[in-house]
Amino acid sequence: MRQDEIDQKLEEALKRPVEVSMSAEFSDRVLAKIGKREVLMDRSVKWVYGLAMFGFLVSASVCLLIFADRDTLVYLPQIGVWGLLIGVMVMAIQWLDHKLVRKKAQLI
Amino acid sequence: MEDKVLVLEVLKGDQWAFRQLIDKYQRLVVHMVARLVDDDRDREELCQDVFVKVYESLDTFKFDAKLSTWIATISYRMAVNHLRKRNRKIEEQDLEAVHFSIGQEDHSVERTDYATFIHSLIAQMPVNYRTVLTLYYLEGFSYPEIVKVTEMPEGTVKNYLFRAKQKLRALSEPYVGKEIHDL
Repeated sequence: MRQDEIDQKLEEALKRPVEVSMSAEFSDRVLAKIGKREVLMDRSVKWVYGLAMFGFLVSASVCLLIFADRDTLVYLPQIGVWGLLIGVMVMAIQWLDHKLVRKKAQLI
Repeated sequence: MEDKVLVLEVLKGDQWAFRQLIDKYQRLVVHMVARLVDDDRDREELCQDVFVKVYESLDTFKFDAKLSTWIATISYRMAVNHLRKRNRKIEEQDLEAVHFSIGQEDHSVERTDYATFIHSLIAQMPVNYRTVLTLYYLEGFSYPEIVKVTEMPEGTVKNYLFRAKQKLRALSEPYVGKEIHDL
C-alpha cells in the first residue's frame, strides 16, 4: 500500500467517532442532578436565612436588655447611623435572591 | 436553534432549550470524556456532571468564544480533575517513553478493523496527545480553539499532533491491509 493511501486511511480512522453509548435518558438524568443540587442549595439558603433571623432576634433581645430600664429614646438617633449598613445588607440579600433563588427555581 | 438564542432561552429557564443544548453538545462532551477517562462507570457520570456545570455556569458565558469551545474547556478541565482525583499521571509524558501494547500475541489486530486498532493505540497515549487528537480530528477544532481549551502553546499543539500521527503511522503501518474488515 502506498504511503499516501496509508495516510488517508489513518486520517479516516482518526475522524471516526469513538463508540461510547450513553443511557437513553441521559438528559433526564442531567436535569435530575440539577434538581437535587437545587434542593441542597435551597436548604443552604434556608439555613442562611434562619441564621440571619436568629442573629436578628439575639440582637433585638440584647437591645431590649440594655434599654429596658431607661425611660428615654435619646439613643435612637445613633441607630440612624446604621441606615447605610442596613441598605447595603438589603441590596446584598436582593442580589443573593436574584442570583441563587429565583434563577435556579425557574428551570426545575 | 442558534447557540446565542439557545443560551438565552436556557437562562430564561426554558427546560426544553437546555435539553436541546444537551443533545447538540453531547457528542463533544462524550468524545472528550471517553478519550480521557478509561473507566466506563465514571464516564457517563462525568458527562452528566459536565452538563450540570455548563448549566450552573451558563450565565458567565459571554459569547467571546464559540459555545463548543467553552463546553470543551469545561469537559477537559473536569476530566483532568477527575484523573487527578484518581491519582492518574497527567503531567507531560514523553510519547517515546510509552510502551504500546498492540496485541501481537493473540493476533487481535488482524481480528479487528483498522480504525478500532488506531483508537486502541490512542487510548494508550498520554492525556495531552489524546486531547489534541480528539479536538482536532473528531471535533474539527482549529489550532487557536485547541489552545483556548487546553491552554497549551500553539506550537506544542502542532507538535503533539504531528508526533502522535507519526507514531500512529509507524505503529500501524505493518498491519495496514491485514485487517479483515475495511473501514
